[in-house]
Amino acid sequence: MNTQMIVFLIWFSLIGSFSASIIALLGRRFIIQKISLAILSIAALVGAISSILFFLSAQANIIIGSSSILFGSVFEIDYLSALFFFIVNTVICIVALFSIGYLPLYSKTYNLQSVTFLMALFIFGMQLVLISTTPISFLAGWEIMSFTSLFLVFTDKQTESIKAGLLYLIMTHLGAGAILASFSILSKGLFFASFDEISIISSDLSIGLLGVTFALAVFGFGSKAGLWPFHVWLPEAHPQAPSNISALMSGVMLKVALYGFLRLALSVWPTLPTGWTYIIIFIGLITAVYGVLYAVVENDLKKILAYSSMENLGLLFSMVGVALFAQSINQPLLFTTAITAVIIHTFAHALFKSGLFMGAGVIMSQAHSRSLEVMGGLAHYMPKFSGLILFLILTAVALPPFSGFIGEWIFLQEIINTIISISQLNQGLLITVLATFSFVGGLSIFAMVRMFALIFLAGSRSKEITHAKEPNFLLSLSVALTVIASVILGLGAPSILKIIGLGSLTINNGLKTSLALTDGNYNPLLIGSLIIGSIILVFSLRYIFSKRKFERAYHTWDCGQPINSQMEYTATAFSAPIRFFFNILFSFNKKIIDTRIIPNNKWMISRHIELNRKHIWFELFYRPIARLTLLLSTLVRRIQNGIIQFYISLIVLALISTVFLSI
Amino acid sequence: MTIILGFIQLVIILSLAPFCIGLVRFFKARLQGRRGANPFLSYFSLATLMRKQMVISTNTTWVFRLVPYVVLGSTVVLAFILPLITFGYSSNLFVVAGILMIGAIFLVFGGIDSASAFGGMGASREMTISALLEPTIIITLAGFAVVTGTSDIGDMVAAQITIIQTPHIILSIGALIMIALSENKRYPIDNPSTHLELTMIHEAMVLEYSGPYLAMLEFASYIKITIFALLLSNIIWPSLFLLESVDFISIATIIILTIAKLIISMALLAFFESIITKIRLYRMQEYLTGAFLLGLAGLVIALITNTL
Repeated sequence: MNTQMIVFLIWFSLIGSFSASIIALLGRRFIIQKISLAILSIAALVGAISSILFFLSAQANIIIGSSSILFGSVFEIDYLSALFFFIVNTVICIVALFSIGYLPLYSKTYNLQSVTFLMALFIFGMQLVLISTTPISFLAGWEIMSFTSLFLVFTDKQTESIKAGLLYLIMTHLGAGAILASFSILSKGLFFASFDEISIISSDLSIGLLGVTFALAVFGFGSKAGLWPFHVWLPEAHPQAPSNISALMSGVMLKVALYGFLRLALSVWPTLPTGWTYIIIFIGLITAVYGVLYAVVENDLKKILAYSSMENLGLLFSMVGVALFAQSINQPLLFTTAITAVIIHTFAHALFKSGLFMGAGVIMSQAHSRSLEVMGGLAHYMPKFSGLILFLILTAVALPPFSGFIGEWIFLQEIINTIISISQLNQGLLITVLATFSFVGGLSIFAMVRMFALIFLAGSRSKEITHAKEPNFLLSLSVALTVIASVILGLGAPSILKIIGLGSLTINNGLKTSLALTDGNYNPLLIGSLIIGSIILVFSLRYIFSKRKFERAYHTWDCGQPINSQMEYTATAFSAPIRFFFNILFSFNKKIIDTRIIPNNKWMISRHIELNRKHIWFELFYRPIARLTLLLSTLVRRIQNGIIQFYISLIVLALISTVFLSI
Repeated sequence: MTIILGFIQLVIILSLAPFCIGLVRFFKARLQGRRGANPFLSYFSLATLMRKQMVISTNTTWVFRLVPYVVLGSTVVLAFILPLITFGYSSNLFVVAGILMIGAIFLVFGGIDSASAFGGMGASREMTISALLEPTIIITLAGFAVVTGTSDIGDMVAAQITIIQTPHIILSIGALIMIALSENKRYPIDNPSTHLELTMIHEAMVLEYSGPYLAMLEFASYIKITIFALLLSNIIWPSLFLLESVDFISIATIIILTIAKLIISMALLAFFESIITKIRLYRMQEYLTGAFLLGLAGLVIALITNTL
């Protein structure tokens, strides 16, 4: 009974999101798009509920759809896919709700009908990827996801969007090709075999071929997840899409890429050699450092968030790397803990990042800009909304009572526990991981705090800000939902781990459950209530010892001069120390440009600073590739000389050589 | 029981904190050839500030008013959970590092919210130092965790590992001292008694605060320096009398001992601050890298010793 119920609910969810896309095509009036988005939201909610039911039913896997034509089961939900299905659908549900309130604000910029249609199809693709058990349906879902998100990047038809979209198109298709190749080597061409069968089929692969599939998968899934060095498209494409789509791309699509990699790593590949896991760990760590450094110096609100996604995905992939590493050196406890950390952090990141992207959408609709330099003081005009964003920021920076902290805590704590008992080379690796994680953690605090403070605090730097108003109910509600979900995840993490069957990582002391590893435990509820309690204590003491409203208002002191918002510290200035300390990595050029106020007087000049934010990696790696491609195509053009006889002789040559090759 | 001990510790720390900062100022004045103010002056300045009228800048938002509560609140949590007078209570090293960071973040918000270049400059510097100090804190405490076999700072002190038994721990202690100096914005990171905005960090951020709010922020910084002084002395001499039972005699002895620890550590701090100079902001990364390498060396040597 229960099984049938789950199967029914998952089908309901899939058909719901597919029919939402069809409904969106029915008409141009916004009411139809609203219905479509509402259906989408409900479908996602049902999907999330179905995965909770799956965990409660305690079954290993449930077959959702099978067909004799396609040789066996096609759709199936098991432990890993249920986890991701839950995370993805929860976020989709909130974002679809947000879109109902958000899209009408941009009815002139975007074609709402196509946005809704593509968005529903995009979501359908992602759901399909998560419950596929065969490469063929996996790749079908993957392609739906990639193509629709590509067109969603294009939606505002600006030149920048088209450029970013084309970059995305190239990267995502190279990636999809690599995944296809990886699957076809592993399954030896049997695309209808399920992942479990592929695992058996591929068990006699030589180590060299296995290495090829590994490299292809790292490239394929890594390019989708924005891992260094395949990340170039991510900070360009994510910000160009409408904000609700950016929320989906950063909050959900990146997680689907992570899922794909985990699926290969956990159910298809045998235990990988230790050296290969080092590669994943280092790619992840470099991505995290790269992402966070650019998140600190970037001035574009949505780009900061995109770089921060890169950073988080880097951290997640290095956690996966450490899990596989633990598997290869036979440390089962570190393996379980690292995978748990991956899942918790995936969920936390999906929630706060989609919340922040939705928040960015609201901010941009009021400020009409993405640059931090023209913002400031929004908390004067939207105090409630700024409170919500403050919560999301605190979650994003991995601080104790919030959800961003849990995953990193589990992971780093277990590393400290394990580090004593392994060989020295591996100790060095784990120390590197520990140091890099805390380095990235520190800088991500910098990036997020800078973003919040320069958008919401102090005086406003542009006229648009002074007309800002609190967003409407639906927008606030959906951002608030991500906050509530984050808080629940942060405080209730031990109980959530119990539900998903990882109760071995928790300990029950009295009434309260805390997370406990070999030596070290952390009770989020206790720490949270201590912090809240002492703030209340301080609050009441302050009112006992001093008068309540004994204050006057005056402008900020500025050496006796009048002060205006032009004198505030700017976003560029705020990150100056970091830019200075790490300039060897950035190699930005700072130029001071003098312009004479009176042409023939060289003493009266006005100066301004120009900061060239070039991306050194793009210059050093991608430009040469682009130049090489251009050069090769110029060479090839000589063949295309327009003489038809020449073309025909080429065809004949090709045919003959094929015949020779096949013999 | 632990909760009662925690509250006793909290009360003692909160009441000794202004005395602690008074001591360091007093010793410093003596070393510089001045007579110096009474060490108890800080109590009076806090009381005066509590009675003063506040001036709130019109440019500030609601966050400005939240800042003093969160900064003082998070420091109070630290005074409650760390092993200072008792053995502490659920003080996991990552949690402690996180709570330290909460205070720093809100201080930065307060600095920026004042809408002046001073506040912003102080905030930018504070954020840079706190962010770059994070790996050092984690690595150094991980070094202690490896030596003592536990990640709880309370248990680390309870493990009673001394420099004589495990001399290599001195590297980690050195790193911890460097952390303490920069967390508390003392020399060589910041000049706590400066009046020149170009050299300020902490003072620049609290420039717009006045009256009770300023008193709260100042009090938070006093508590923080007391916490670090006691934590360091407890790590260097771990077996030196921590409160384990609640009776009048042991509480009285512990208060006297705590005052002794504070006098010694503040005298050392004052001496240290008198013989070194503040470093330039743009050479700060050298100090921070040095602290990190010291902590890393501590961890590596601890690991090597462990496998021997």
